[in-house]
Amino acid sequence: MRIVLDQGKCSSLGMCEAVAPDVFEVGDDGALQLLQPEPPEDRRGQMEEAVAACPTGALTLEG
Amino acid sequence: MTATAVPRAERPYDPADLSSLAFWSGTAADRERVFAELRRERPVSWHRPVENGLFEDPNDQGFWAVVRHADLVEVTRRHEDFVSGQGIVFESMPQELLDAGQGFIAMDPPRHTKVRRLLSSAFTPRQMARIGDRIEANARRIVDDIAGKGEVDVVAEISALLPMHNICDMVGIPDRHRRTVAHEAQFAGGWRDDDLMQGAEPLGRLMQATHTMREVATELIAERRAEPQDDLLTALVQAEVDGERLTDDEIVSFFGLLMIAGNDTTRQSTSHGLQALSDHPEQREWLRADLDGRMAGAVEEIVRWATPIMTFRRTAARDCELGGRSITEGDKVIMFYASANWDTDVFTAPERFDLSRSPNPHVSFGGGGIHHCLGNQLARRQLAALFREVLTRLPDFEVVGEPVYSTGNFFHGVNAMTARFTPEA
Repeated sequence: MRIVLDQGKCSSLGMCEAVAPDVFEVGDDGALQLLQPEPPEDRRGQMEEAVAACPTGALTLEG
Repeated sequence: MTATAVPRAERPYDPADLSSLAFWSGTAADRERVFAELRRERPVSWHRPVENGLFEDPNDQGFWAVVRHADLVEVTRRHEDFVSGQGIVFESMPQELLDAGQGFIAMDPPRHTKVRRLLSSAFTPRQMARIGDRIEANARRIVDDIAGKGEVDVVAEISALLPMHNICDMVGIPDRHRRTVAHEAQFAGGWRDDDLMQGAEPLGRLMQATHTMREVATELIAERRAEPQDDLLTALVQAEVDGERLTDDEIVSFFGLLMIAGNDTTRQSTSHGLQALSDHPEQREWLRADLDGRMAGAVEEIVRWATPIMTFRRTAARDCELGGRSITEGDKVIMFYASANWDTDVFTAPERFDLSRSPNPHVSFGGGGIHHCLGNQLARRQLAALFREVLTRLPDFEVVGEPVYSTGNFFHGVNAMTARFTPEA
């Protein structure tokens, strides 16, 4: 499972970070960073929740 | 379904009244009756121009009303069809006012994306956690000041102060300016309201408010240039977009937006929330029984119930369709948030104040998309901190008499509301 981030769409709100702060982090420059681009399979449910929480559709899951 | 485009000037107006001052002077329950009919029968409908009283715009021919949850979300997310750069409130306004108070909320990509990112790092979950103690301390300080009184004006002594201190802490506004700035910010959405206006002429008063905000912002900008601090104003002063510093006018405009969006939203949610908790003692007791476990969900329901911002506008950037209707380039499209938050396609028994409601996909922070409320997590934290403080320390807190609601189509405002409680020993 891989998280794909579209920086062009991301508005850096951090809704994903509120769901999984060890995977997503909006840095002090306002850009979202993926701390774990390939989180373990047992976290799929939480990753789906984080992707769904994005108001701009900037996140997708692959694999 | 394909609709035929009717030129704006010939399009018949919907018989439902969403445009009169009388409609916006009534209660939320009165308005909901009209919204319910529209949601059921005519979810995207064309209306005569809103009664303005601020600025006559001969080109204003009306607006589309979007009242269903699904359509509101769609408009919000189709930001290329429905743009913000031509204004985000119902009324046409002089450009000077738009420039002064709307900041990046009335921008479109690509500039919106870059400018908003400058500020977003101050509102992330990590940052909110960093200032969490401060937010809780502000809530405690507010309750400290009223706890011995036994009776308070909720709006003046609680609701107005909570967001004022928190947003001013973040932006970097010293105590000496806080009350002025929070008071002047109210005119942006409150110029229809007699209590607030005190007989002043709207356009002139709004200009005066703009002028005062500019003076304060300009003074603070100069201070931050000379001596940087760890606050949002300093971040704005030092920021670059596309290799260029922001101009003073831009910073003043962001300052105005932060003050309006930061103060007048959480203020309303606090008042409506305290009233709802008082009106529904069984819900309040349910929440008190497990504050840690239930507060997050309770805040969501309170924010749905309050719907502090009732409308936002977009403008069609091109001819397109929405809900089977043909929208013409240049048409105003107004989203009605209270209506979407009462949509029975999404909410079971929306008229019930139910702190255990789950899921609760309310649109009080927006329907998603690029303009989704930047301060949503700040608002949630402030409300949770305040309600916890009140429920713990003033358990018999009770709103007495009828609150005084404000008149206007933007903020769902409460001007005054009295509460009584047993003074803290």
